[in-house]
Amino acid sequence: MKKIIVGIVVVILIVVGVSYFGKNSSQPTAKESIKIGVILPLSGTAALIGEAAKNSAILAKESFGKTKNTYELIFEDDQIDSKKTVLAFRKLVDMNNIKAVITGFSGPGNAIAPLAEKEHVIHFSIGSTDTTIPKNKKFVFSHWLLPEKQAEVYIKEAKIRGLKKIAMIVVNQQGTIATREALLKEDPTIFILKNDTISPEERDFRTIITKAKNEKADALMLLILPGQLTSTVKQIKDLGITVPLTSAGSIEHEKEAVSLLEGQWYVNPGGPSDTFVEKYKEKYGNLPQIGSGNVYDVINILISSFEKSKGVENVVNIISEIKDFPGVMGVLDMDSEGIISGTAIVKKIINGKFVEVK
Amino acid sequence: MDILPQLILNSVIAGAIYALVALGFNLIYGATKFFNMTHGVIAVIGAYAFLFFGKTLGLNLFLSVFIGVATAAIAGYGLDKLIYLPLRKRKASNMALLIASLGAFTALQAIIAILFTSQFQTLWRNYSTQKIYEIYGGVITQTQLIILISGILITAALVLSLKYTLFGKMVRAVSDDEEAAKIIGINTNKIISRVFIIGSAIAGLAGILIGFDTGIEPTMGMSLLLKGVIVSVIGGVGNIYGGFLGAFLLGFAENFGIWKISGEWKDAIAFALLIIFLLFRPRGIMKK
Repeated sequence: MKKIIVGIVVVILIVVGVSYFGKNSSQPTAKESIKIGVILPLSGTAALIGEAAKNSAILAKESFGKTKNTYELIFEDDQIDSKKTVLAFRKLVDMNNIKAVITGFSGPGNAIAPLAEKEHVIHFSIGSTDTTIPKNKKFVFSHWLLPEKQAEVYIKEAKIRGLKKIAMIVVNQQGTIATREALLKEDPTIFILKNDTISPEERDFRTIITKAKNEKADALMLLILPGQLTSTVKQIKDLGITVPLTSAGSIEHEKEAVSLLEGQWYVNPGGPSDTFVEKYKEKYGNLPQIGSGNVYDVINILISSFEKSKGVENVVNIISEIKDFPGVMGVLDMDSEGIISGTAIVKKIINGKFVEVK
Repeated sequence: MDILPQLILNSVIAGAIYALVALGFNLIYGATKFFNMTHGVIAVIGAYAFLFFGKTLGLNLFLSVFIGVATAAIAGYGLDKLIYLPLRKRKASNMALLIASLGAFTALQAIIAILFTSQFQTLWRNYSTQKIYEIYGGVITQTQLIILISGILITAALVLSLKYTLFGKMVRAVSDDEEAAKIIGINTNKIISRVFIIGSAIAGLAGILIGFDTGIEPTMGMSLLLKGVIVSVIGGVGNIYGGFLGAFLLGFAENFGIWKISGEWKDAIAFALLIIFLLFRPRGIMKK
């Protein structure tokens, strides 16, 4: 019995020792590959976007060319559920010993940022309008459109189109709220129902749509999540509302909604270069989705930075000083807040396709 | 579009959806005396069966509805035979049955997500064919009208069959006292199985109609179930009439409640109503 207890204690000590020293080795050995975790919605309501982002990450790694180090991408599915993102992150850190992680959307980005900072794991947030994610954090960065830029373009377009009373339908989630705040900062007079929010789980929008109709809104602005678009648009049409349905970033989420939104305009982040689109199309046979180009750029940034230095601290410094980096989303510069921002463009659904309005 | 008629219609539509979910839930609770958590996912099974046969395979609409309802009924029957009946035979407590149903709920929800993906999907084939009716300035769609009429007809059919048919009398006997029902020669397990079939078929129909109205996703079962449970508590758990009234009370409270405040308070209003009833009228509207 005594031997068994001693044996168990020895095994526990070995396991604890191996995991402790394994976890604290911040520099990978020459043979060890540098692991990058990519947590995306690979199933669920935003799977369309998540799958395309995964494809882009693989494409970026394959297209990088010859490297000194070897790189491994480890994908995890979070269905944009922050609880699942945290579980995936813990697995990636504790078991896979990742050096960097990419997350999609504001909710998961917000959940992972403090953990990544604590663990000294480089974190890039994609598709997150919430600019507070990298704020005051050394290891956390974002590659997405600033809500202020989106708001500026949206308000300009709304004014060109003569809209004076736009009813907001806003889901209470970090990203959509950040966009709402930027829009209200840009022009608080143009919007109505600006303090009315709905739950991320809500599927019955009839009463809030009725409110918008009652206020005689001359357009509706949807700031909603994947999984809510089709039912919202259907309910708007059911209630006989014919005013324009616009958005800043919520329109390209669901294929089913496209036919119901024919002819509508909205503001979105600018798309990737034609070269990237062609390369993606050639490999996967379809078009990239929103955020695909950003993921491609981030993988390129991470690999090129790790090629310069293996130490995470040094890599963080290299990333913080990125300037004129040739990305598929344009020439990229890191600002002092840890954000690589893009451009906002006006788009329209024409014959079921998302077309940029020049 | 006038506001008051539209608000009333919004409330009636929400109430009719809750009523359809609560009807089957109350029927099953009445006979078994446990909170059947799988009721929500049974509605989802009906909706996805319709999606597969009606939309993916393109079968006739009515045939697909029938298959969807039948699939839900078979799933409910199967759950009773495979999980609840063996537990009842072992004299398992209601808590054990509730936990078993929660486990079955989670497993079935995961299976649906694996088979059909978690992507939000709609059941309508062509939105432009949807008819819209105007009632005193408010508008209601054909699907919503069908939901309302189905709720009323199914409630009436249930009430009448429970009161006037031999099967209904046996269900009431089992609901009142299962042991006494056994003593007078009623095969209670058979009656409970049939109750599961009927209750699950109603849930399946509810799932299909909700799918036509707003759309479906594998996780929608929990929110449906929660609203069904609130409605049942408000109406008096196990009480068919009470559930029907409770559904409309909840629909009106939610939709009128968020008229002047943020829409995000909707669930808070529902649970506040639940707490008020639990504190001041725990046996519901209909039970004294």
